[in-house]
Order: sequence, then structure tokens, then C-alpha cells
Amino acid sequence: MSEQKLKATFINVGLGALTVFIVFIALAPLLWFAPIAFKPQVLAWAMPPKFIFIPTLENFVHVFRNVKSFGAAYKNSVIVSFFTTAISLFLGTTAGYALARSNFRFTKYMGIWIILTRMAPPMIFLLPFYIGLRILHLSGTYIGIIFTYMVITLPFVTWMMASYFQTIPEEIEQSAMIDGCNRIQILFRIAVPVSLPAIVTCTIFSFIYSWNEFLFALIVTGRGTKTVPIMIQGFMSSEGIQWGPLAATSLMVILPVLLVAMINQKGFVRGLIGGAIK
Amino acid sequence: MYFLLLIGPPFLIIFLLTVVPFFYSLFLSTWKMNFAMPGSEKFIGLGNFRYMVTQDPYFWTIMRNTAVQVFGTVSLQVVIGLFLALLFSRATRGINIARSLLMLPMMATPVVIGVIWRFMVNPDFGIVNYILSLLRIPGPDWLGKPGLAMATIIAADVWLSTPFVTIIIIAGISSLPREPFEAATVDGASAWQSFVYVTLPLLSPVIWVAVMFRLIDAFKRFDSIYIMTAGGPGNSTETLNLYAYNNAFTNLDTGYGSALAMFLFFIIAVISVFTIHRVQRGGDA
Repeated sequence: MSEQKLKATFINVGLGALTVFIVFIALAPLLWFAPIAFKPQVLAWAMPPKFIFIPTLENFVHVFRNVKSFGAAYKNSVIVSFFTTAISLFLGTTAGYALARSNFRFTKYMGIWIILTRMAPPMIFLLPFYIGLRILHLSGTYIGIIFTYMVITLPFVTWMMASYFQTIPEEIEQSAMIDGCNRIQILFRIAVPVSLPAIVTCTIFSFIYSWNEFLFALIVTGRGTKTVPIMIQGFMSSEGIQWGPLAATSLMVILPVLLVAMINQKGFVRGLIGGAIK
Repeated sequence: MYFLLLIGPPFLIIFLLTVVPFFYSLFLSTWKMNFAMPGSEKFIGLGNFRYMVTQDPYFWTIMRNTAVQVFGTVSLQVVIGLFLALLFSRATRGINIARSLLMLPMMATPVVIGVIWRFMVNPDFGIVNYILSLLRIPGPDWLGKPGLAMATIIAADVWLSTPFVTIIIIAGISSLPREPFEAATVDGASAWQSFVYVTLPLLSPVIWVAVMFRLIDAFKRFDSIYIMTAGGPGNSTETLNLYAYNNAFTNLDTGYGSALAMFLFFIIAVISVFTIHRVQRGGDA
């Protein structure tokens, strides 16, 4: 091996090691935190910390037995995330299709609209929603929370689907139209099945957004409809934080999003940048 | 006909959800009104904004906190993010897995991220002070002292969101044309020279896109600050977003809270227009 080649190999190994090290740093807080949920109470805060211990489920048992709000909050989060995602997808897909197939250049303005809702601090929507939902007697209801979350998800899904539908050639649809399908049949039988990648992106973005959302939830959820982030915040503010059960709860809360993220990360990232980069 | 049927309901909903609340907020910001004192509502025009900049004893402290938080996080993220993008855009085995793992924490619930950081910097059992103690450095109470609390708040988001900058810049790197680099090599440019004079200018639109989104989100940041310090100690980590929230929902000062939120939106809009301008100018160059 020549000296130059040796040097190149050396640099490559070095950069590879640096990459691994940075990934480790990025994950270190999670890797340190997750095992705490499985630590026995007696060892939990031993100093120096015990990195090797016999894992126990006692923190989880404690959460299920003593923290009554846990099951309810988890159920609320599942309901809210599911319906926010489903309704946004249905309405956003139909509106997106109509946008893509209409002649006027509305889609372009829709993009600006998306960026504006992306820029607006949630505080702008929060007070009007709080007041509006009270007037409609919807404060603290699932419907109220789902509508609030659609501020973010619906414009995004509409625009994302519209830009995807625009890439589908219209000829396929015209031949179906000759065969006697109407626009709505075409949408659901032809356009939707070929747009699966965009639908997956929208689903993942809407789900993760509504699962993680905290600021709106602080105000629009009620006693019976608290979502998981609110439950965790309640844990923090109660006197004498029980760190073990808190760790167990936190782990159960981030697990679903991390799993979904593993399946398709691009969807979420694209959601964050509002489709600014394809 | 079908178009109206398809477009109508969703757009009515989007309109009701976004445009109506915006103008209602704008309307509220011109009133002196407090939920705790019904019946005392009074139209004061720009009075809330005048009070904000001339009389509010906390406003300028809040503005300074906001500026430190936003520009502290974003500048670190751009520098580190650019460096990581160069490292993670190398075509080596397993790089896709490495990228996915790097981005994973970003998806996690922000409230839980706040909890994890409170665990990590806890002076009694946190890992940070344990590592410092191994180096024989006495660990401070990170969230208990004003300057340190702000530094910790900034560090938490640098850790969390730098991969976002990285991923956008990687997208930009993968679409770079080859010719300029070949030309630079032929002309005898060193690796550093071709980075500074070829890579950076070509990447600048993408970098500005990343900067814009990071600035927007840094101004809007709420969850992890609320969980880690709730603006404390004192009001040393209270940013404009938290201050607007506290005014509207703790003091129930609806009018002033709306005015603060509007002001925040105004700042974000101005900064975004500026960065969009940079993106486009970079694209033309």
C-alpha cells in the first residue's frame, strides 16, 4: 500500500469513528434516561450511578396501580391523534385534489398560507380558540381539541396532497372519466391509491404533531380529556417528584412516536419544513 | 360542481381555523380587557403596544432573554449543523442508519425532552454533574442560577434541533453540481479553499432555508422551556412566547397577552421576510 493510500484509509477510519461518536452523543440522553425506568427504587439515585443492575418493572407497576390519570391520558392521546389524523387526511385529500385539478393557480397561494400558519406563534390562535370553544360549549371536549390541532395539520395535508396530485398525469383520469367514473370516484379509486407516499407522509406528520402537542393542550383540554404531555407536566409540578415512575411514564409516551418515526422519518422532517425542500 | 363540493368544506374549515382567529387576535390586542374583571373592557387602539415598549417594567428584559435564546441556539446550530452535514454526507456504509439515528431525538415529545434534561442536570443525581465530579469539577445547580439556566436551555435545543439543520444541508449537498468542484481542483484549489469559495456559496440558499425555519421555531419555542424552568429563576429564561402566555392565561390579561402574541408574530414575519430574501438572492447568484 502506498503512503498516500494509507493516509486516506487512516482519515476515513478517523471520520468514521467521529460519525459513530456523534451519533452516540445524539442518543446519549435517551440511552441514559431509558434504563432509569427499569431501575429498582433503592438504586435509582445511588451516587456513583449504578450502570449495571437487575431490571425491574416496579416503576411501571406503580404507574398503572397508583397513577389513575395515566390510562385515561393515554386513551385521550390515542383518540385525539387518531381523529386529528383521520379528519385532516380526509378533508385535506379532497381539498388537495380539487386544488390540483382546478385551473386557477390557487395552489401557489396555498403555499404562502402554509408558511404563514407555520410562522404564526400558537399564542395567536390560542386565545381566540379558548374563547370560541367556550362560546360553543366545546371547551375540554375531544372535538374542541381535534379542531384546534387541525389549525396546523389541515393546511399542511391539503397543500402536500395538492402538490402530489399535480404530478399525476391527467390522461389516466380522463380515460376513467370516459368509462363513466365521476370526479369523486376517480379521486378515491385512482388518485388516492397512487398517492400512497404522500398519504404516509401526512399521516406520520399529523400523528406525531398531535401526540406531542403541548401548548394548545394546556388550554383546550379539560379534566377528562388531558393528553399525555399534560399528564407529564402534572407529574412535574406535583410536590415531591417521583422520578422513577416519571421516567417510566415518559418512556411509554415517547415510544409510539419513536416507533412511527423509525418507519418513515422523512415524512416528519418534510412536515417540519412545510415542504420547502422536496 | 364537484369542485365546489370537494373544496368547499375543507376551505371553510381552514378559513375558520386560521384567518378568523388571526383577525380576532388582532382585534383583542386593541382592547384593554381582563378576564378577571369582566365589564371593564375598553378600546385603546395601540395602547397595549405603547405600554409594551414604554412602560412595561419587564418587557425589555424579556426581549433580551428572547434575543439571547434565539440567536444563541440558532447560531450554534448552524455552525455545528454545517459541520455535521459535511460529516454525514460522506458516502460510506451505514451512513443512512447513522442519519436516522441522529434525527431520532427530534421526533420525541418535547415535554419528555424537557423532563430528560431536568434529570440530566439535576444537582443531586444528574449524569452531568456526575461526569464533572469524575473530573474533580464541582457541578453547579444548572437550572438554579440565571446565566447557567439560560445556557442549559440553549444547550438542550442545540442538542435537539441541530440535526434538523444538518438534514436540510445534506439535502443541499446531494444536489450540488460537480463541475465547479472539478474546475476548482484543476485550478489547484486546496480542500479548504474549495470549501470556502465553492461549497459555501453554492450551499448558501439551503443554509438560509435552515436558518429561517430554525429562527421561526426558536422564537416559538415553548414546551421544553416551560418544563425545564418555566421562565425562572426569576424571569431569567422567560422568553416573549412564555411572557405572552403568562399574561394571557396566568394574569388573564387578554388584551395585553394578545398584543404580545401579535408583536411576536410581527418579529417572526419580519425576520422570515429577511431570510426568504436571502434564500432567493443566494439562488440567483
